[in-house]
Amino acid sequence: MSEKLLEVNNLYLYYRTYKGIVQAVDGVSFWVPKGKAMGLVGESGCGKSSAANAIIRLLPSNTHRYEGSIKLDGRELMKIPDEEFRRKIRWREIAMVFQGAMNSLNPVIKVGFQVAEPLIVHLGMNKKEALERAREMFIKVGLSPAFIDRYPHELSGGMRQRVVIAMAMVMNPKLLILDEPTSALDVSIQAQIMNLLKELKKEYNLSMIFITHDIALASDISDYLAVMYAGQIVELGPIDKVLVDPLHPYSQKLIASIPRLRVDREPEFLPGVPPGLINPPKGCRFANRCPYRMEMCEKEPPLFDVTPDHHVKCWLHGGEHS
Amino acid sequence: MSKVIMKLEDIRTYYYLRKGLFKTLVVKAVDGVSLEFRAGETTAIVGESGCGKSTLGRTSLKLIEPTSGKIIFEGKDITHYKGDLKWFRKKAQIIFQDPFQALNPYHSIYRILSEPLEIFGERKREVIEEKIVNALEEVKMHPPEEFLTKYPHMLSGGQRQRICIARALLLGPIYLVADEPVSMIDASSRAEILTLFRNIQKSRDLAIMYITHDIATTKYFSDWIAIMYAGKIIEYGPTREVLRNPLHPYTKALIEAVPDPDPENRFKIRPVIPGEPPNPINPPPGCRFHVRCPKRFDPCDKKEPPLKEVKKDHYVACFLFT
Amino acid sequence: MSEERGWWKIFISSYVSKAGLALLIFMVIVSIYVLFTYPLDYGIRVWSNPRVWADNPKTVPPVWVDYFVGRDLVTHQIVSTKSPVKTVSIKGVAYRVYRVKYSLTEEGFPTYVLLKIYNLTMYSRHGAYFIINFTRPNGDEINLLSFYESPPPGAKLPYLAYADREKIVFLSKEKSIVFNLLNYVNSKYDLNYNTTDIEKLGYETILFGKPVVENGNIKWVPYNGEYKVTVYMHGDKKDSIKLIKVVFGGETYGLLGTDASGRDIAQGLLFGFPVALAIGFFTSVVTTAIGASLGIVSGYKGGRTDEIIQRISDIVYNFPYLPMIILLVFIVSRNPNFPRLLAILGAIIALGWPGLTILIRSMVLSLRQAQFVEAAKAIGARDFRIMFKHIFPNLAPFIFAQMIFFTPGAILAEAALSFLGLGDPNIPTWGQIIEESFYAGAVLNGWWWWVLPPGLLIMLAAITFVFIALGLEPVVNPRLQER
Repeated sequence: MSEKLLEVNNLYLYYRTYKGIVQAVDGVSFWVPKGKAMGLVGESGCGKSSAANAIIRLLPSNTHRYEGSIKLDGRELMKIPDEEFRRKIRWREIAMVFQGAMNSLNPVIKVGFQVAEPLIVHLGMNKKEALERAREMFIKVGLSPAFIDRYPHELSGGMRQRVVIAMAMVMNPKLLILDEPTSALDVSIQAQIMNLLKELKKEYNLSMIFITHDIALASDISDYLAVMYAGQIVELGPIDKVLVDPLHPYSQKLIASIPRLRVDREPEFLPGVPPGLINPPKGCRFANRCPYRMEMCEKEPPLFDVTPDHHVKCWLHGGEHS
Repeated sequence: MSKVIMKLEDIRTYYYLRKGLFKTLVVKAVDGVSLEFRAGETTAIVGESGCGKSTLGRTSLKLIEPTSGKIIFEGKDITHYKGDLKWFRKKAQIIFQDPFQALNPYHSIYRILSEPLEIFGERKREVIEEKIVNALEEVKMHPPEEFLTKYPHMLSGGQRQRICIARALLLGPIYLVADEPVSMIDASSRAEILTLFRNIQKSRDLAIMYITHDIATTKYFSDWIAIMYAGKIIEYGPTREVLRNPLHPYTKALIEAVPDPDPENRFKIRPVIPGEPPNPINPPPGCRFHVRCPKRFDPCDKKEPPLKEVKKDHYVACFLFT
Repeated sequence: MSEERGWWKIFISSYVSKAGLALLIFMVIVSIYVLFTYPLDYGIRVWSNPRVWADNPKTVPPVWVDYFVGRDLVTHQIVSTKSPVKTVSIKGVAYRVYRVKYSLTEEGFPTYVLLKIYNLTMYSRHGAYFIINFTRPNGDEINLLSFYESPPPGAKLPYLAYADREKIVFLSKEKSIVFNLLNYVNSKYDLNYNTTDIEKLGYETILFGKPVVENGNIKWVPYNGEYKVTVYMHGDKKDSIKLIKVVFGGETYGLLGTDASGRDIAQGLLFGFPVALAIGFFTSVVTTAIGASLGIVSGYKGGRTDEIIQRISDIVYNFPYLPMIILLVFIVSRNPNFPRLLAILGAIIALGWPGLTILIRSMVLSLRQAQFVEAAKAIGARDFRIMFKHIFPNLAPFIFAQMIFFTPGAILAEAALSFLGLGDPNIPTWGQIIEESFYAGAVLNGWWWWVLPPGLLIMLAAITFVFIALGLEPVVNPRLQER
């Protein structure tokens, strides 16, 4: 296992809503090695977007609980005050491509300037230098540098997504978080963007967290896979292990439900719905849908180490049982 | 061979956009499509955004009026039908892509499901209730009574889509258009809904048009597949045959662009189709795909290739095969 | 279901909505009280009826002004008597003495003295002869005036006079008493006044005051003590009087003072509560109904219908609001049979609907594209059904909030119209009351109790609905909600 760039331990993020407290991220621990990508997969509402927001510290005003340990290159980020985080960490060391970002570009500002802006704000570059750098970035993400002067509506969806990626990469971050970066794109454009991400990963030795509900897509770039369910990570490990031989019953069902084009296998399905994040059930949260449920499952299992880099949150693989 | 329920003959659906006082742009959304839909069989229409598949589905239901061509339903030419189409609506239904948008958020499930019955004159409460309960059971929502008083926002995406299906089935249709029915549902629930579609088709002998951009699902839920590009069908045949032996370069590229979950994916750069999907306002001359086609040669930019049967039941529109 | 409960919780969570709701409840309670205690034709029967207010002092401030002025102000008192204190009859002729007592304790002069005699029954053709005397605390009895009353020639006896209209003697304004006063004053206090001096000082000052020397000048100060007004009646033995009333005009009256007609302003303003609420609600409900319906039809149908409705609403919307309303009401009020209030309400509605139409139409334009509308079409629903069973419920919270928001505007518009004199003078709305106050010169004369309270109440009513509308905003626009 290569050196860890990001190490997250016992991360909590709860929100206050008028319906109750949403326990979006509930004691999540994982790591991302240098130059590698971790796929964070799960169904909608499992808390994966919240986990990303927690790492880059973009918290809403109704945050109820935000604590844990986030270490970047050995440095504890949680100890850094907000203003310093904004100046030194966010976008400079950790950058993010948000869900639907391609539709959230400012429609009245040229895309070149939107990419150059972080340089002007954070690094104090003057406009000419910043735009020059933006031009370089455009080439790197496969866009013609002439597009600097275009407005978002003049570009197609795929091109806009490249702009957003350029915007995230412009300050050479060490870690790039991507939240459903291709969900609104056509299949052929999706393939183009994934190829781009693979190239960027290689060229910059970039670490990535790739968040998606599409496991086949995650396998297109991830070295490690983390499966999230009801605010918690239930399985985490190298992709060739987790994808081919998943250990957690939920991971097994999830992976078995993927329709496969090239293999003749009927996709299975998992009946029921995941629990809500307000007042989650006690004990193992998957117990009520689990085919292997036992009496032990009334107590919440910890994340067991099956091997030093493969962890499962299930009594079948730890405790007095295995 | 089972009965032909719906037949589309050279359907063209154009939109006219007024740009300024004198200029009118023509959007050729569907530009000459002929298809047959038989009882008990599903035909998948696959293509990327802007290829016209949604417009085709709606045109076949006369939710959009075709500019030219014929719609023949149960042997009757209904293209220019001059009366009330209520009898047609009973027999031809549609399932939409976004189950949340397709349900009125202010109506309870009971109200949503009783509406089609009310429109068609059913007044007796017991009869309505019985039909609704049966419909809910058919889409596997147990126990049915529990759902009658709920509102759409209380249900999961998969449950909402089932309500939409139940609503469509209440009137006893023989032809169903399913427009991207699972694209807004979580990956793990998709297989469940598609299996439900398959079972319903079998029990009711429905003719189904399955519109999707997710080619992987067509393997499990379609008998025939039609690949659409820029308003035209460029390949057509039995699903297994086309997926195993794609002939058209576009079909080949489309299949290549879709990842199966495989830990080796991250090491490979996927071959992609360069460029963007075409603009339906100004399609390129000759074969619409020739601009992006790696195999283009002389006639491709001058004439449009006709759809020809190249193998048994397998049709392609490409000069490579004539 | 839980959607509706959530609605309430969001609404009630802010301070403004709590305040608005409290005010609304207050207004509703007052209105209910008024509806139960006031007669329905209050306007005509009581408010516009001068007889009800005849005894009240005119344009005097409220009683609690005492605290602010620093001295006790003279309270308004009405003393009456029904039977004589002494009756002497000789041979068919009677001599009756009626007496009323009055205590002046405050450091001020009563504003006037009124004597009223009700129902005089005369049995003799000679009629009755009255002498009115005034006794001061020191016992001096001054003869003020005398008059007599006899049945008209040829009238049947016994004759009833002072029945439809009681006999009113303005003791403090009758010119005839000036000479008697003059005599008394000059002889008693050794002064050299003439009638002009008496006029300048005012009769009440003389009647209820005494002169003191201050810095070489003579100043008249209030003379505290017990006064008596005596009515000596000569007449037939059988003659009778039902009631004698003496009104000693106070410097203050009532909870909010009186206006130029002596009307109790507090009473009139209370009546304004249900009127304001009714006007507000009625106009906003009707305006909203018209505006929303037209907006929905216009937005959904499109094409010709849309164009027509839009053009009409554009035109009406761009009329200058106040001048147009004034014009409309003015034209309609030329017909005296048309109830004024209805004219005002009609004008407010006629000019108020386009705003909502335009807003609703644009919301419908986007809702029209919603899939559930397409789904409804797919199952065979017709336009009307879609418009009112599908689209309308999605707009309902917004429409409701708009309705609340329109209410203060309606209340203010009515007040403005009444203020400009276009209102119904018989119904005391707050705007009406302010109009009269201005017309009577209340501002110039400093009669603040006539001007400020109705103004504040109008403001209060408007604020109530504005607060409620503000509280409803996050319900209607979910983006404003706190997550």
